[in-house]
Amino acid sequence: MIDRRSLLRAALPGLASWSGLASWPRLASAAPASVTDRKLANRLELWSSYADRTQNLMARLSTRRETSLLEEPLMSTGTLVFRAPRLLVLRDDGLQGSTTLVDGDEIRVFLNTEPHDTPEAIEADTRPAAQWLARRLRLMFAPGDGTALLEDTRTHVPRGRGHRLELMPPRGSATRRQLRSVSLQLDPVVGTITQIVIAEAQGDRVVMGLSDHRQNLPDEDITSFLEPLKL
Amino acid sequence: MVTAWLVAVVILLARVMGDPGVEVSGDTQALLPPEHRAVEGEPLLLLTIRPEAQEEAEGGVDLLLAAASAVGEQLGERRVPLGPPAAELTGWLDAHALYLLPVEAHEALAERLSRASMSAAVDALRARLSSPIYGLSGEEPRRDPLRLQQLSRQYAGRLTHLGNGEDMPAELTPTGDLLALDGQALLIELRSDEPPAALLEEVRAVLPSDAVEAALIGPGPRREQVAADISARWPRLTTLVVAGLVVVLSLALRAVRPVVAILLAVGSVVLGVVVLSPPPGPHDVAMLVLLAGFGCEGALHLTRISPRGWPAAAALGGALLPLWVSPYPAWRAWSLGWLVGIVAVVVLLRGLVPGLLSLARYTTAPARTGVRLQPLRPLAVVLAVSALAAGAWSLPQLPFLALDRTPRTGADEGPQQLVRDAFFDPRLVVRATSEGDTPAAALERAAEHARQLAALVPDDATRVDSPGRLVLPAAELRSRQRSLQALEIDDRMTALHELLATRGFRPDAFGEFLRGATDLEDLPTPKAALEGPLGPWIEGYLEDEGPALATRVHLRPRIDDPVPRLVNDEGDVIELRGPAVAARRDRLGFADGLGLYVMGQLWIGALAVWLGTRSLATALACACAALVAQTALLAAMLPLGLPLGAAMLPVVLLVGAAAVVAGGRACQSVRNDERLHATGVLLSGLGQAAAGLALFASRDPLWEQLGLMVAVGAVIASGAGLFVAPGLMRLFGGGGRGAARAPVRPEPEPEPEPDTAHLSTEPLSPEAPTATSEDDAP
Repeated sequence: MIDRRSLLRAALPGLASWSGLASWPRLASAAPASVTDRKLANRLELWSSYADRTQNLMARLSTRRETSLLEEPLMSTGTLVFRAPRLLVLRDDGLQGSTTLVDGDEIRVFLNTEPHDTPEAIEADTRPAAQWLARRLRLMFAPGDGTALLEDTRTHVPRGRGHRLELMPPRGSATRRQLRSVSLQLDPVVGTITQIVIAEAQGDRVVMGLSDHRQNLPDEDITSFLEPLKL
Repeated sequence: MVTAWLVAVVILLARVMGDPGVEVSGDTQALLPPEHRAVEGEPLLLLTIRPEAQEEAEGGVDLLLAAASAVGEQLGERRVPLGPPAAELTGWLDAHALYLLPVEAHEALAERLSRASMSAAVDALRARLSSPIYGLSGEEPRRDPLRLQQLSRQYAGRLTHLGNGEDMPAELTPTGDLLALDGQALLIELRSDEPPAALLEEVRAVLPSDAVEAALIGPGPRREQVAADISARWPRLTTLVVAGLVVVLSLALRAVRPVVAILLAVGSVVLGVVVLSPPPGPHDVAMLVLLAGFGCEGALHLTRISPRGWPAAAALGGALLPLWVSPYPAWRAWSLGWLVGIVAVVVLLRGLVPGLLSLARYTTAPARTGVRLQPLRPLAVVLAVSALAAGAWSLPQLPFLALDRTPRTGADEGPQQLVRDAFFDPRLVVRATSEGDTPAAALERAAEHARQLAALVPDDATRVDSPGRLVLPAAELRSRQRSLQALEIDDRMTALHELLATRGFRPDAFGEFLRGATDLEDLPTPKAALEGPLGPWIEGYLEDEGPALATRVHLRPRIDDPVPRLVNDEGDVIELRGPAVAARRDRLGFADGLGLYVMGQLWIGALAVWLGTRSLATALACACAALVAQTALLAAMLPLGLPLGAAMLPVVLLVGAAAVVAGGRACQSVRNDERLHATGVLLSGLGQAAAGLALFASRDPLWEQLGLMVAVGAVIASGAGLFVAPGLMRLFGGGGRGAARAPVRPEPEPEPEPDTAHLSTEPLSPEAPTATSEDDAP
């Protein structure tokens, strides 16, 4: 586990060199970081190399929820759309699915057959765990150096293959009582997020696979996707 | 008289210097009728995490729960659950979910339990499960797969015990405390008559971590805090008052010995009131300061109104008498206390001061030349009309200080504000009492009341917190049982079981719901609740006197709304009691009350002036001047940002009385064609203003507001008395005309006359003719 301060200490030289600030002596002469810190800095550098250019993003989404409510894991497919800086939409394909809308601090889940402002929609704005997760999900695709993403978060870089980064709510927080972690899997070359794994405290697990990333599409493509939602 | 006074002062000083000395009350509920006062023995304990003591990667929930556990172990039965223990409540709700829906909802329930609706609900559940947020959204599909809680909200209001309100960002802990959803605060209810400071010390001693901070909230801790504040501010306030009066008296009298004598007389009266009356609270301290400031009026030889000088004392002493009919206990007591205080001050000033001055071999200084007032009727009319119009315009726009609120400093407000933001506003909690022969009967009665009180949600109230919401009266229970049996719940639950399995769900995961819905023989009766796991929590609602159960209603913060009136099935009114109820009633009737008290004060003042002068025009002019001063004060309060409320009523009346006295003096000066000495204006107007400024500089939020009102009001009252009353008197046909007019005499300017206009140097005696009355002789 790495606290945010040491993380930023480790990440600063990498970020500085990536952003052309390596000539700044104070940043370049930062104290040598541990192996774990260097790994985290590398993950952030890889992630930001893609995310920092994002004005909008559309990707195919496959969701798998493992829950004790169901005999078999629930599988669904859909589309993820992000529009900087604050809009994230996860919409299942077909009328049998649902849509998750994160617009700033507004969080709603509604059926695809219903408008987004239906009274039947689930509003999770006041739920700290939902807020924490929604904020992380939104910031994963937003441009930035990672400071906002890692705010109010513990981090862990799992061993093994793949470029993964695990985000966890603070120990002893209200969020931690409902949510264990959110893991990102990054594409080692491009830096896109290819998988998000959400581990809930009660045992449910949600695995979201992302593919076919299309970054900075023309506005009309995003608008045409959002139009049925009347956002 | 001097000897008697000395003995009395020695006794009073011995009482003050000895044990226990002067006690201070700190009671901020003194204006509330007793039946509406908040209970002092039920403080709330707020546990918070010190931000600076918390590591970045650590939340506070574990620390707070550990601290709550330690506090619970230490306090034992003194800690009572604020809400039902979470697990026991969940079990009860799951077992009786359908019974808690009213019969009116059963048609909608039947529709929701139709095969098509259940199929749609299960499909919707499956669809929502694909959202990554769903598991954290607060939805509980295991307990409510068909979202029947929506029906509860629609037909029965929310099951509005604490901890499940959507408008409150908090949740119940397993032991029934409230935990803020952000994990930074935890609220515990206590029952204890111990001094709050000792209780807090005991709590702090067992806190397991320095990172956890404890604070007590409620009227009891508030009383203790205010008492400590008063004790701390007392020396400063006393110094300010004495300094202010010394300055004013010195300016007016220009001699040390009379200043000392007057201060000794006034101070001994204030000392006597402090010792002989109940321990003073924040309102009483302000009144004591005003008594000192307004009491200096008695130092004047009041011959400007009448030869004997009693009308001014009567107008001033009787100023608060109208408050005798008010609903404010503190002001009812002060309506007579003020009269007694003023009488005592006047008696001492007119009886003791001459004696003291005689002992000190002080001889009266010659009078300085005064001014001859020239009443201007147009000016008086313009001023009066302007003030009345401005006051009438300002009155509805003035901010209102509610009866249940006392201004407090920002530092005191911190924990209270946190409780309001993270949990609920304790100031808005009012109570309804349900009585019965046994606790079970009281709970059944509370169930009926709670059902009717639930109609207040959401328009008038945010929550009806009662165990009665979880049980049903016998008749209602039978009715719902028959209605539910007609719905053939068993068959529908069997269908739901099959449906869930068909859609890929594990029906066992919904076992709590399916079992609770199917078992219609497990009834939510009061007896079952009291004997079940919710019993200890319910007992916390039982009141000491007889088997009675309290329902806590969380009103909306709408001071301008009338108190909701509810009638039960027997036609009896369900009485709501609490500070917020008293405040709403007071707000609704405040304007009427203010008018009544002001009219009473004007009548008393005018009567005193008429009896003293036998001039109806003078009496009317003084009353009008007083009304002008009061309305001008209201107009001045608007730009000054001062609120109006019950706490300010005495100031309004005293300003009126001051204007009556100033007006009477000015009118008599005109009627008798005498010069008006500046000494009188200085001593009365500035003495009052000095008391107000001392309060204003006291750094107490309530006293600051009152002090500013008094200071401004005193200046306005002097102005109204000097410039409005004589002009109006002329307008009403008095002064300078007819029999009332004193014969014109030559100007006495070249020869100084004895200054009996500003200071009494003679012993009080009804028969003793005053020098001025002799001067008044043709």
